[in-house]
Amino acid sequence: MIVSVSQLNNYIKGVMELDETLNLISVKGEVTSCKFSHGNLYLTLSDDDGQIDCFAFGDRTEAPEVGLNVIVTGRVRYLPRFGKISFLVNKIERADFGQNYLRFIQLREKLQKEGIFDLSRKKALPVMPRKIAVVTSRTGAVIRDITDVVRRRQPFSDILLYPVHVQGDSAEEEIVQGIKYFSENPVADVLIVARGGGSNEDLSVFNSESIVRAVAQCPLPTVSAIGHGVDFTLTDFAADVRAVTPTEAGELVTRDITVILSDIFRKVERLYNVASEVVKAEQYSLGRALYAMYSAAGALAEQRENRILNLLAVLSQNCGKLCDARSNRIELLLQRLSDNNPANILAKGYLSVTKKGDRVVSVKQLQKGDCVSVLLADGSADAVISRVEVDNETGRKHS
Amino acid sequence: MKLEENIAKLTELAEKTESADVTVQEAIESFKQGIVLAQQCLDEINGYKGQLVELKTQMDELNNDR
Repeated sequence: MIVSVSQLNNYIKGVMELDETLNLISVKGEVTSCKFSHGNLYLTLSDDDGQIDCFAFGDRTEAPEVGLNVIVTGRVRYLPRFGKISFLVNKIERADFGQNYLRFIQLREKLQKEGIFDLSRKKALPVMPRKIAVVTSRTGAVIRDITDVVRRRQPFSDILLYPVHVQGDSAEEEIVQGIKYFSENPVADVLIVARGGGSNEDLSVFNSESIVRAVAQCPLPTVSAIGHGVDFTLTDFAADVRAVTPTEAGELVTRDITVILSDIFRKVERLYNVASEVVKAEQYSLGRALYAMYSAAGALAEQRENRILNLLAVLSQNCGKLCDARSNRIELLLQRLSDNNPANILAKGYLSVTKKGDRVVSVKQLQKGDCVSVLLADGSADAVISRVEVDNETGRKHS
Repeated sequence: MKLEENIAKLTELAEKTESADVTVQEAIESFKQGIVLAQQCLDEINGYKGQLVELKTQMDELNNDR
């Protein structure tokens, strides 16, 4: 018998609608996820072996706490369009905390007592790691987001992916193996353990003790990026740093190279500007110094020139003065010579007397009757002394 | 320092001619020597001035190269 999908789905729906048990039933389970959307309540009830999605129309004001055991009353319905079963909830009653939640609390306390979550164990993330290890699914947005961020911010860094299933039966073992691989092989500088958003059930593997211990024991600095911001797992507490999203994980382990380069360029530009100013200032100082030297040398040459010319002037003046002085002296001497010239004396009417060739300078040299020669200005004559008389005042003899 | 030495000598000559007991002959002789020294000094200074002009040109070229 061959039917279409729609026919099969409608058949299933019909069968379920006819089943009285499924039309009014109460189900007890642990709330493993719960959210409001468009005013309607969506929650998942789980136990150790299964889960069911529940839906309640938007006339509620509060949602049951995740981890609580609740009893929901309503009916099971089949959604032919999606091929899914959903439990339409009329009433929700609180039962107690579910086993999953209790196990979670007990494990958390145990690990806390061991100091697994102590802040003192946290390692600092490396600066600009070259090798970034990632344990996550090979497919999906998580590895793509991390890769995009790393390539944008630190294009020189390598991403080492250890692909794992992030939910399902094999997830726990694979994730532990991935973390241990990077713990035991020194091929990376930092480790990111990541998965995208999901229900609490989807994320619950990251509450497993083996993964938490593997993260805590990992020698590499670890970043957990599990689910979305509001989701917390024990792995997040064990990791050194928790990221809200895979993108943030990529940002936490990298530096934006463009910002760093920009900063470097700014600093280099500033250094260049400072150096330019210093060079300009030095050039200006040098120019001024050179000009000062030029001016000083020129002034000194002028000064020396003037000094030499002054000295020549002094020499000339002194020689001139000396010559004038000597000239005056000579004139005076000439005048004296002139005054003392015998011709000039004779011209005044004086005469020179000689007796037998000897000059007569006193009347005492003469007697009456002596023959003397008389020299006048214009000639000479012989004379006989007729009288000699001595001058009583001057002692001259009159004859 | 030949220039400075010659200027010193020139100064000596000028001072000598200012002395009270210098003769005219000595003064004229000093003057003659002074002229010779002055000429040498001025020649040397002109040489320095020429170098200064050249250095100024080089200095201006350096400034223009900045």
